[in-house]
Amino acid sequence: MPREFSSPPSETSSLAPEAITVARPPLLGSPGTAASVTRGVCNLLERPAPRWWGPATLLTGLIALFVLATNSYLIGTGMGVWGVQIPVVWGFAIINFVFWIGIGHAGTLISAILLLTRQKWRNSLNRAAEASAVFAVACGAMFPAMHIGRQWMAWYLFPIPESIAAWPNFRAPLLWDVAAVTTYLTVSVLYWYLGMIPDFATLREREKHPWRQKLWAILSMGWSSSAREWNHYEMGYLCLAGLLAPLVLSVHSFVSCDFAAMVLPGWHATIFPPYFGAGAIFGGFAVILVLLIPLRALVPELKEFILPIHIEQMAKWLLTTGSLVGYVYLIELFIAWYGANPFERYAFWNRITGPYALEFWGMLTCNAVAPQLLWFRRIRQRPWIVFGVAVLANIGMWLERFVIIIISLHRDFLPSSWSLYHPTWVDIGLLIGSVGLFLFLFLLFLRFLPVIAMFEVKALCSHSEEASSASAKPASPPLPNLGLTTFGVGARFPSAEALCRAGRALRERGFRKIELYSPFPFHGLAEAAGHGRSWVSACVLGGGLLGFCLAASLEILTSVPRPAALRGILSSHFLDLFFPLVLQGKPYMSTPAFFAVAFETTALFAAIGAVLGILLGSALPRFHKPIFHWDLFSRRGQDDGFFLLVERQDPQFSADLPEVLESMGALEISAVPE
Amino acid sequence: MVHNQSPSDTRAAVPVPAAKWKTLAACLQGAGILFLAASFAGSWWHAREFLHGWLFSFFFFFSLCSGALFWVLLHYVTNAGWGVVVRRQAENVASLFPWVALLFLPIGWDVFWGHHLYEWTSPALAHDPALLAKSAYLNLPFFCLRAIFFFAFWILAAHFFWNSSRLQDGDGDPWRTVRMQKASYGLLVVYGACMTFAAIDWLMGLDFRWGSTLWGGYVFVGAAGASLSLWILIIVWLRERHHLPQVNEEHLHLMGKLLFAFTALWGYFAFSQYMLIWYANIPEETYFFIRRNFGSWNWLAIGLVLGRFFVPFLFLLPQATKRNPRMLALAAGWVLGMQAVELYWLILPRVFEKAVAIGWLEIAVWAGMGSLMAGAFLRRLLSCELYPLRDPRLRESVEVIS
Repeated sequence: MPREFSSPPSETSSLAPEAITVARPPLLGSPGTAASVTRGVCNLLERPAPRWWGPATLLTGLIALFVLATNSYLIGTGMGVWGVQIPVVWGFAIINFVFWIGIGHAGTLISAILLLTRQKWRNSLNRAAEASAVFAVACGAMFPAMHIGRQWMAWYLFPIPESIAAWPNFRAPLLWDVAAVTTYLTVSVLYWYLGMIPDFATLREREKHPWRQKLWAILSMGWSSSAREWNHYEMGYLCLAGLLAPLVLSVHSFVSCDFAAMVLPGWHATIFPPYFGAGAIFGGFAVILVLLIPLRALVPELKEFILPIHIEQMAKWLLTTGSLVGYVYLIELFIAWYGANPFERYAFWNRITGPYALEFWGMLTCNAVAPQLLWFRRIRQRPWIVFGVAVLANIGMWLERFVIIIISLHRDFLPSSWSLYHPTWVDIGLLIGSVGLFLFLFLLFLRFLPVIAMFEVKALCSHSEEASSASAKPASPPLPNLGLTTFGVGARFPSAEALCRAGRALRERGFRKIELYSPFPFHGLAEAAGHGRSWVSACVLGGGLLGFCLAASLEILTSVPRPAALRGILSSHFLDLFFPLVLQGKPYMSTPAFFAVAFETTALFAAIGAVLGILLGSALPRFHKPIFHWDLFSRRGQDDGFFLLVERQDPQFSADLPEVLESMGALEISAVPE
Repeated sequence: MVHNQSPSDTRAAVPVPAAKWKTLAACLQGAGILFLAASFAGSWWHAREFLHGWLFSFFFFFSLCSGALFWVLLHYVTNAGWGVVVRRQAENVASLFPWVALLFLPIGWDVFWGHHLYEWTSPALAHDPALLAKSAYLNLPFFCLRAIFFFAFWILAAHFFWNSSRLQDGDGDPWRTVRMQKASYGLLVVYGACMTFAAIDWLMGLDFRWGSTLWGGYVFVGAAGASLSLWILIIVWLRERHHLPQVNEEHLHLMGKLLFAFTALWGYFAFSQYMLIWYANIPEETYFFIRRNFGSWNWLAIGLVLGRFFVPFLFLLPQATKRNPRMLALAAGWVLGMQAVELYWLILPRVFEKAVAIGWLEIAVWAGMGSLMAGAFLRRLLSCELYPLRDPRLRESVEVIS
């Protein structure tokens, strides 16, 4: 609920203008009730597709085919079809990789970091942001797989020694990328899916088509939005957010180590990890703005959820991260000069004045200068100007990777080999194809999945409507007969507060087998239903410890020579573990270099622990629950109804229970059949 | 007292024993001056050690004040509501900047006449090509100009926030909040520049041959975390004495989360800087760490990794410790101590090259500055209300749920 500061009545008149400036603006358009949220979001999926959707999807799908076509040509002919050569050994593929991985970051930032920092405006954006994150990371992960040359051997990157008889080099930043991107993609997908489970349940109850209903039912795993489910869900969701927050920074940090760990002027800078993090969030916010601003115009219904305030907030983030990136450009230039290393100084001078000066200045303008327009509120409030800045930011971020990779490479330490980089049509086709693929996936998402996280937006709804519906109470229906076949008694309550009051009152009377149901979680729900603190956090910790131990032992064992005690034994798969390699003069046990893979594996296992914890704790998947037989619950339980269920097995269960419930303010009371 | 009719406010606040604290402040400041005077006498024999000890203590207290200013700025920049009830104490700490500027004077003296701290100031190096390459930045007039600008900015900015907030207690004018918020955006940008270059000038400049792009961020993150720890300690102290009953577990939880986040952030920055230099293994960079991993300094370095990151990180991980005032204060005190250890590890290997040593000079300077600043802080505390009485967001802050 948006918290508005309300001044006391005595001072209202004198405070009137200030109350406006300090007040928290509403985050949801009118009418902003739980039912209107469900209607608004589901309507996007249930109505026929808008006219532009079909052609747009077809077009982007065709563009996405470029990836397939150019990649087939690449596989069939060889790497020579790319523009890479000596010394520019990393061309468009690596630029695109860093570009797309970066874009994913804002999605995770919105969904995880803004959740942790209690920024409620994120609630209506996070689903679309997460979707764009997943698609962007998928688009990005494609490129290094191509870049390894023999794509069918990509599995060599993973520690599967069975047929290779070799282990990956855990001390190489390129392998950290493998761990980071795999983990990031997995955890993002898990988080995305987890967030959709309650919304799938809502869709399941609304869907008329039997097959589609089956699909939603399977996807929602029998979610009933009970207090117990919410209790574990919220804890797991929070833990996942807590994991994703460092994860999102770590991914681009490790990507940046591909460059920063090298001894190459222009690449080796200690600021690279946070710099790449800030840049990634900058680029990601830009992409989300580029997607959402036209979408608001094309799908006017979205204007109820994505208000100008959301655009403005994202514009502020664009300004902040753009300025941070600008800060890094200046610090890099300053330290390159201050460090007084002639090679470093030359590398930066070459950026500014060399053959790629246009790219450098374009990057500087797009990333650091253009966002400065957003200092002015009047500009932030014009979505199409923000859109323009965001487009520039995307171009700028692509150019930034071009500047880092190509400019530092094209003049290496051997001047006789200096040469310029010329992309081929295959390079360009892959870039355009990846953009098409991203847009294509996003258009599919728009059509087939809930674009707005319904249950999270419902938490923003004002509760005044529920209070009024309580006063306009319909004539009480006849109280139900409790036959032998009943599972229990269900009741609907007008508001979250009434539900919690009833839950607490029943528990005080000694009822134990009760459950509360709410379409969205809120503070105090689990406590009112009598659930203790969720133990999902323990699963997260357990998963994390397991992952850490696995990764640490794998890294250590595969890096050290076989201990003397085991030398006499014949080789076996187990003993093949020991695979000592001297690389870059690093010691066998390189704690700083081992950190990346250990961290990523820890996060991966902890995230899997969170998901398993939620499923175990809420006893999901479970498709048949007695309360689903109650017609009213099916209609409103996942929409806007607050329900309470008392099981027949409760020792306090008696025939006068319906009267008791009615005295507590229940609107409809019904027997729930077995 | 219009806005704070909240349930927690029904518990009466115990008034601050003003007279007693005033005496205490005077005693502390007197003791501080005595300590510093004594250490000045010691500087006669060990000028180099004295000045490095002085820089260490100066930077410790500087980081606390500058960090506090960051938290005040961040409060306004993010349009935050939760922190109103605790914000005053950060404002108080930040407003001690004039004292910090005073403590800078011996360093200013050394730059011109002593040449013990910053090698580049020494006339013996005037024709060193490595120095000449960067003399456009590293020269005395520019150095002084920067220092004056930094302090002028910090003193004025801190005073602006402290004073506007204090005046709001009297007139309850919500426009002050709006004005502070509007000012905060630009000020944060200037703050970032000042912090970066102060870190470069005063710490990285100790060795003018060495440079790291992350240095400003690294020093800033440490300062913000340490200052947050001090803030938590002050708040818990006032709360335990029932002077500030408006602060409840939710506020402690939020501050604990921030401390956790900044512990992780410090780990991230410190690791990034160390790992990349270690990995690239270029002699002109690695000697910075080799010098600090030499002999018993290595134990201190390992201790820092454990103590500045792993211990508070794991300790603050469960919710219970963040909500328990004593546990949180313990963590905050630990982090504050670790900030001192870190600065010691950064600065003192230049004097004690062979092994870790703590001389009485360092202790005297640190204790002297500490007492002086603590006394000044107590005076500040008494000069205004303990929390912004009429801030328009006060109710939101008192009712916050973490």
